[in-house]
Amino acid sequence: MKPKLRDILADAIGREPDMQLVEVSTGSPSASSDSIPDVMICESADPLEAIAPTELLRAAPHARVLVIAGTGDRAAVYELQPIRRELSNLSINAVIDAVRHGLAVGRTP
Amino acid sequence: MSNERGDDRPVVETMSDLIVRVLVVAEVRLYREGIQNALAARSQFAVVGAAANADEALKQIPLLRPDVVIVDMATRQSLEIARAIHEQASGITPEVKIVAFGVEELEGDVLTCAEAGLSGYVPFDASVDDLADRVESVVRGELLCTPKIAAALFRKMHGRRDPADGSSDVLGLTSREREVLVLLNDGFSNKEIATQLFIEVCTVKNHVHHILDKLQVSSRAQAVMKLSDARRVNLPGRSAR
Repeated sequence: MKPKLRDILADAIGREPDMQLVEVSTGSPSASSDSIPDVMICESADPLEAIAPTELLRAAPHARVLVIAGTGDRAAVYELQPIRRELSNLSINAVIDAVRHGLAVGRTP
Repeated sequence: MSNERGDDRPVVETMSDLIVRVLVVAEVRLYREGIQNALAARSQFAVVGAAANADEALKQIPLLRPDVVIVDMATRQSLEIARAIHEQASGITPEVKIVAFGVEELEGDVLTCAEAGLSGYVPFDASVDDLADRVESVVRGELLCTPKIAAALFRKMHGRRDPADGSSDVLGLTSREREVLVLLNDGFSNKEIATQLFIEVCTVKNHVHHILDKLQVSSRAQAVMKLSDARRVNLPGRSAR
């Protein structure tokens, strides 16, 4: 993240009484197991096409990832959320399919 | 009622006379507010205003009379904005200094800032602490830059001595045409001249066309030779050797 954006965000977060900046990383974003934060903020040229959120959320599924464009005018928030799909007329095969395919079960390709 | 400075500038309650009054110009709201907040948290600064573009800035400058205007170079046409602020604000508040924030620390970019009338610059990869340091240095009348940039400024000053020798005045050129001719003499292409002078390539072509007309020559090489001839005539001592 560029120093200007990093400093501005650090300053803004530092002002909030209910927030704590636990780490400022200058390298590639990573969710270390020592201190997994509630929110991770990173920079990407295109916040909607960023790869980092997928990797970060895989490492820290409970976290929220905010990706901000280096231009400072756009951002995107990424979160993992539970999705459910009801399985009616339950059968053994339906259970096995659900185990094997999850949400994709019963969907036509 | 006038304040201690003897003018009508709004008084900012401060603990020290060394408070620097800052106006932030940044098109992107996040950066505009971020720079405002980050500087306002420092006791040596009073952020008196913020603007998203040149029009807003030029309206605020006479009212707020900042010591320093920080222009975020990520703003569209930021250099034009900085130049406009310099040209128009200098008539209102000659003491105002303009600092470009987010400049690629390349010779050409920094020199372009200098030519636009800016008092200082903050590199692209600088932190807000660096911004604060550089703004304070500008207020002290200093310029924080790398030795490489300092050398480039020296070279530029040396290069500017030639047009000042009167040679191109003798040729009947405008100041802009003189600049273009000197760059032609240095071997720059139209595109490179456009970049150096922050103008369009077609504008450079127009200047070259006018130069050729005025000098009554048919090629750039001949125009450069005319400049060399004029310099030989005008530089004392050189022609006598």
